[in-house]
Amino acid sequence: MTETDGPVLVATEPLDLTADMVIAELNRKGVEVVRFNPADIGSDLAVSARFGGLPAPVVGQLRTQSRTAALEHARAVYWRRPGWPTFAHLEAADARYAAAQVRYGLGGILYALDGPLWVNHPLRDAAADYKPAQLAVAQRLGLTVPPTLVTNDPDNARQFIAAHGPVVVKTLRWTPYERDGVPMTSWAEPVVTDEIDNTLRAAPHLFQVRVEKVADLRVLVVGRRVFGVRIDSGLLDWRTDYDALSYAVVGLPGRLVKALHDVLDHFGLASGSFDITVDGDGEFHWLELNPNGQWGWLEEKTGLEMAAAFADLLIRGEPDGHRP
Amino acid sequence: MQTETRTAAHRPWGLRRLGPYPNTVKMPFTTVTVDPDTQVGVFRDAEGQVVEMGKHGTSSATSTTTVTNLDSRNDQGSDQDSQQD
Repeated sequence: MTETDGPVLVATEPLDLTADMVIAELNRKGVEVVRFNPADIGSDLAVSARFGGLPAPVVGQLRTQSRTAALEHARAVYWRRPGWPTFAHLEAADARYAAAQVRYGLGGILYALDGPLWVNHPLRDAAADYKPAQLAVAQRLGLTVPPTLVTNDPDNARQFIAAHGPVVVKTLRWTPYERDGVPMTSWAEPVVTDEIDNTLRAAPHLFQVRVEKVADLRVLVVGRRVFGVRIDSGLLDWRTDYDALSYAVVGLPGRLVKALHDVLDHFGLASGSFDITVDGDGEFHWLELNPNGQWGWLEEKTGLEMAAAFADLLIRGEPDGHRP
Repeated sequence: MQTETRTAAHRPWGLRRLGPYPNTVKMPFTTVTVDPDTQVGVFRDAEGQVVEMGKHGTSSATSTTTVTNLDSRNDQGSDQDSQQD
């Protein structure tokens, strides 16, 4: 087991104001923070770990320019937005080799630690990032899931839209994308049958019945704490215009809270941000889980003490000892 | 099924559905380093003066360019680790 007075490791890049909010809370509470970015590997970041021949299964050290952490004493790992080295100065095959050694060496040493509480474990984040898996799990755990089709068959897509319209299309996975130097992303948008063509065959796409909603909910869960924020906008996709949004802190019914906890438990996550939509009858409809979702702006808008909740979780874990 | 093979080589339909971010935010800093004592980010302008960022720029889904946005990646892109295969 870990010692309860060890440091909190924070894995993120230097530019991360949300992590800064949590680190500031940890500082206020007198808890040592060791912040590191895997991209710094080299003279600015060193890691060593011993396996075998010692009483402890893993003993190691992580050293940054300013701090040193005994890995086996770390009480928690806050996995925020780490950058990984690309070794762009090397030839492609050499770079691939070097990058993989860092992933499986530095990453592997960290993943070998079973003492710290992970918020969240990156391998669990990755597993939860598959929307089809989310949709199935959400329904299994009692949530209402809008009828959804994932397909690369244009005929199936047209039939689904004709039978269930209005339908929106969503991306299965976000990737960085620029067109003529302009950053682009996908937005939930209505789609009609005439828009479907054979290029759909190149990859699966996600089609979902559009819920006749009156508002959206963004629900941040931090351990056992639940922050529900109602977002009113009149927009299909509220991300399209932050200036049009109004926020209200709302309580959530117990059955919804339990279902969201069950989803996180299923995926082994300590925290997650849920997008839920509310229809005119007050029913809740699952949209998605963002395992490592953004919340900094919600604290700013609502005054909810989200950063403090993360700090408390990282310091003490759950009062009942619950772990994902 | 040569036709099918060629079709699969097309750019996926969804790429045509991408759109630009509505807002990008200019942030008044040129460098960020981690303070050795506090472990929080320290932002400096071109003259090397420390810039107070507060909580500004913690928005969730604006542009992806870190030069014009602070906490700018989308929910899914927020952990670069997940860009791994």
